[in-house]
Amino acid sequence: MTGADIICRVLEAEGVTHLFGYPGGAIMPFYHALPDHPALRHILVRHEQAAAHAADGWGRATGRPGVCVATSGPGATNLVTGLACAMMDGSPLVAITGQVPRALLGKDAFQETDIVGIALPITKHAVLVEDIGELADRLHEAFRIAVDGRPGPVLVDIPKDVQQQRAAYVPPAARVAPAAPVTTGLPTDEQWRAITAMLDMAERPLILAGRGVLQAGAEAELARLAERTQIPVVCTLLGLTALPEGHPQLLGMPGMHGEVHVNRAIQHADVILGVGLRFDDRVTGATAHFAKHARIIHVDVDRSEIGKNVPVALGIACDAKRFLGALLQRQMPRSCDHWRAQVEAWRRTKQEEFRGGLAPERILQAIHAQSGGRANVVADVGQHQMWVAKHYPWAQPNSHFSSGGLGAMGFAVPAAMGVALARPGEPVWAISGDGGFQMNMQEMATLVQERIPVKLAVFNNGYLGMVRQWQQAFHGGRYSSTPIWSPDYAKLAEAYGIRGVRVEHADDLDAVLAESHATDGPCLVEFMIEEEANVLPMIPPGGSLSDALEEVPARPAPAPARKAAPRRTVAAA
Amino acid sequence: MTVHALSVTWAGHPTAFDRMLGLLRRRRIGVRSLAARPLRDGVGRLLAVLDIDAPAAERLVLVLAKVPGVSEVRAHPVTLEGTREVALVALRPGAAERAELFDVVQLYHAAVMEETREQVTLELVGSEPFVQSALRALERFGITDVVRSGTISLGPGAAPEGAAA
Repeated sequence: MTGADIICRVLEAEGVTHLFGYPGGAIMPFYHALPDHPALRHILVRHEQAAAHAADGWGRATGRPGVCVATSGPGATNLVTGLACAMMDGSPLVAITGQVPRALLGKDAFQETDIVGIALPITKHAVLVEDIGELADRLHEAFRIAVDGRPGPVLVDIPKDVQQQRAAYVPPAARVAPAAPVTTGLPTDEQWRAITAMLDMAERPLILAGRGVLQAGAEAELARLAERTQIPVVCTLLGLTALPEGHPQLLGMPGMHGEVHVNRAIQHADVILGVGLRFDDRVTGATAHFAKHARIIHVDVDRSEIGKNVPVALGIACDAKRFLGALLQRQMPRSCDHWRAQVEAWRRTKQEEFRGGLAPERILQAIHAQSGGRANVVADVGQHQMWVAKHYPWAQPNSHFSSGGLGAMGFAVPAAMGVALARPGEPVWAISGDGGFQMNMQEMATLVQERIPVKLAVFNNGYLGMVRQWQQAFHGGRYSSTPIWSPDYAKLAEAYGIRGVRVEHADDLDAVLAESHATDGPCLVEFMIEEEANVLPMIPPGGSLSDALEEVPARPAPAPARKAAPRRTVAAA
Repeated sequence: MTVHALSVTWAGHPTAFDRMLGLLRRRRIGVRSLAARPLRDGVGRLLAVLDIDAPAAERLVLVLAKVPGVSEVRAHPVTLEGTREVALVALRPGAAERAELFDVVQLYHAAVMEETREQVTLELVGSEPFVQSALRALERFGITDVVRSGTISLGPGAAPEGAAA
């Protein structure tokens, strides 16, 4: 069979059912072979960046590698943002790129780029396959590396002539080199004694739970530990849903837009058990001032993450489920009444007041209610991302998806395609701002052509809202290049052949969302929200978790020329 | 400044080399020397002497150990006594200076690689300050070219090259 057929055979053997891609010159042999493999459903995106984000969404939803395919040159370089996003958030993904024929490598041939060189820093592994004899092994190896330890993306670059060569497909064999040995395992007896003693003796203990808890499927163990020990739990942005909303031990989200009482609890904690998180700078603020009174026990499947950002008293390289399960065998019940009362007393009474337009909180509660609490919510990046994180009533584990580490605007719509295909029958909402939506809104065509029932929500405030908020807070209110014009989204949706509705009043929310849920297939709802609402509290850039701003100084009256552009006009200014 | 030597052995595609350079660049780590060579078919070793302290060296080891194909990563602190540098020096001494030049060659235990009517080529081996000192002493004889290996270092109890991996 040809190299192209071997690629398809590997995908079938790995259990791939969907792949997201875009054909082009150097990957044409693969696309020629694809129709002979009907078990592989190809989703034709409108831009390769969307293929990578969609594969990422699929990977986050299933825990198995999502697959994206692109041609050489611009096809491959367009994948880059999606690869970096998957790398930062530890999402399993395999990218297959066509490459110019071997005879042209290094000659600046048409659509030639060194995508392996470009991708190395933003993938777990990237490899050019120059020998058909290695093709199947390299591809199987890619699937294994993508899920080994901390998951992530792997890129396999295949020259066109290798796709056309003929060879037999040999199933994965022992000759596939094992990955570098990364020793992970449960703590030693001595470490266990130290861990349980620290958790027993702590007066102000906290558990910080990250996405590693969800990836390991350790939500039940986390809940049991929290219930047994009464230790309050903080979930990072990507760890949201590790405990359901309303769980008595759940404090909320930490970091830059975390609630004041959560950040204050971190700053006053004497022991922190961090499980499945990186201690990212959006979580810690200025690391020199992070949790200075706490001894940190850091548990992560990737040992190179331990102690990378904050000093730890004890580091354990272990899968969250194994660790928490074993800890439950050892950890005795305790109470934290005084500490919990203290943290509750820090809970601020002031909440954001939304003036005019629709309150994001109200919209999110309505989406939750109208979906019967079953919705998978894929948030883009910006203010709405924080509102979703803070205000959506999370009920189902791993039902929240967002570009946390890279913060890639344009993520939500394509990633939601991957989530929807991975979870047929479950409602999926892609929630974007008017900026991020316009970065990948061409994917409405993919939703229509492939009949993917993603519901699109656009929070329209006429600004690149988070940047505008920073301009208001830290740049003297100079709204430089943040007012953003939008098309008429409802009409745009109609032009794509899907239902589009604009909601301007809270009274219309329930009816519109009920109709949206009842709609068979994709639809779009545009929510006209307050133009200059802010996400609060916030930690100023470079500040510590103790420096939360609870309000942003009012903006000086803008000069007429600086007035925000209308949300939409007939002609862009 | 603390100095550590890092030894990385890999099999197959030398992506470890690319990744290591990328890490050094992104973390702005000072490089004293880099040497890479094949040990045998498909197996290579990279040696780097870096201006980093022990925790940073340990972190580099952990990150590089994750790279597919890397079979061994080791780091060890470098002391002046445990390092060597090789320098090849080309000189054009005048006829009257040759006797004096060979006195200096003896003083620094240098080896004469080639001697012609026009040129003398020497090999110097020693610690970095030793090589520096020798070069200063040779300056007056008309150095025309110098190639220096940078610092190389062998870890305590290291296996013979080729035996590892």
